[in-house]
Amino acid sequence: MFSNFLIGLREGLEASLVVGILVAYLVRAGHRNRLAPVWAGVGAAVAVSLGVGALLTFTSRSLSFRAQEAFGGFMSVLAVVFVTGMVFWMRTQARALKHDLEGRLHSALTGGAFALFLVALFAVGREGLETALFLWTSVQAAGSSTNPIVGAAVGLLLAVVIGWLIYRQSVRLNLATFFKVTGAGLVIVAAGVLAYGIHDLQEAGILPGLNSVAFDVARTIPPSSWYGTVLKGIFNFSPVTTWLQLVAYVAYIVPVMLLFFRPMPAPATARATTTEVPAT
Amino acid sequence: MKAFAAAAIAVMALAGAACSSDSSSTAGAVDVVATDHSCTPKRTEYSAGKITFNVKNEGDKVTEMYVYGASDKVVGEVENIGPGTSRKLTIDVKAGKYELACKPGQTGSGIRQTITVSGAGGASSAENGKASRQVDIKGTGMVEV
Repeated sequence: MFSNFLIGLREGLEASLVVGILVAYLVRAGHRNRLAPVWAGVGAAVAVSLGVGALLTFTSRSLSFRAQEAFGGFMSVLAVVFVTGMVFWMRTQARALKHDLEGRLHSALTGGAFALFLVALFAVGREGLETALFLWTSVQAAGSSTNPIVGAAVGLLLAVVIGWLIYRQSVRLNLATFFKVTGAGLVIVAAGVLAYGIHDLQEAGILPGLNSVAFDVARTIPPSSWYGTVLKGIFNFSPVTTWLQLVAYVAYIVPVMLLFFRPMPAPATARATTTEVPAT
Repeated sequence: MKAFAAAAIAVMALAGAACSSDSSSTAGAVDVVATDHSCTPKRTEYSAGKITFNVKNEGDKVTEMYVYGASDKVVGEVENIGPGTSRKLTIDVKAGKYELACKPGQTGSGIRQTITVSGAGGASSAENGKASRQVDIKGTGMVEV
């Protein structure tokens, strides 16, 4: 039961993290009314994943290995694009908040509704199919033993609770800290998702270099251990990482972090850095 | 906004539908029993084309199963098979020798079982000039069968 629990936790953690931060951000910026597209994105991703997963599990229909990996890979890359876009969008919003330009904030958010929907859709949908397959398979096994489904459900539930806790804790942060921590957190998660997506595309044979392994620490950090689970769930850390994954990870995270932490162009009246954003 | 949203869902649904349309409606799945120390397919002879395995994890560890061609070229993989559950893996292969590798704990080079595919048809071949993987260094104390 415990190992099924760990799979559930791992599969759910990252999506829960992204959604938790997104919701915290909107609430913090005073836009509870913008939560609808987020939940719509989450709902759509869950529904489609469960539907397709059920088809593949309970009927004779099957998804070829390559198609499944390619799907996972492209979804991951899309998720990275949208999460990155969101991080920088949040950054400009932070600036708008700082100057208390309510008008600008609203106009920016109008354009953001669809983007919010997509971020949630891809963040959850990315691992959604894999998670749904895992979940249905546990349901299927329930005839002989309920251990798998109980473990899987508890794991997913814990992932959701962690997402909620992150939301609860982060909304209490000072506004400037809040934007920094959540933004940097999302960039780290996105970098992991990118590396994971690259691996999927390598497995699908779309990208080369599956067997050029940069490092292999599977013996030190077994994927089935709890710490392996947490590392994988949050950072998408893979104990066996290919060179292409490693290069993509570094090539993404270094420039994006630098851009994210570059000083905001300061208008005449503003102070130099974003650290003095007044708490609202 | 609504139209966009609908379009995005449609794309996801289509992706699912498109994938599941390459269904193998007649061929029954072949059971592979995976434990923490063994990897036993119901049979080792197959005809070329689509083969669906139903990997049953009867061990205590989470397992995964790879299908390898020559030089460990990955032909297929199914992961996250929790204890007590089973998952399907469909491959579409040409004639040749392949290896099933069950990986209890999802690490290592796996417990290997050679299978033979014969006849015409199939998409992936066992041979691939590009892929070569000589790493078998991560011995995790598992025996080859």
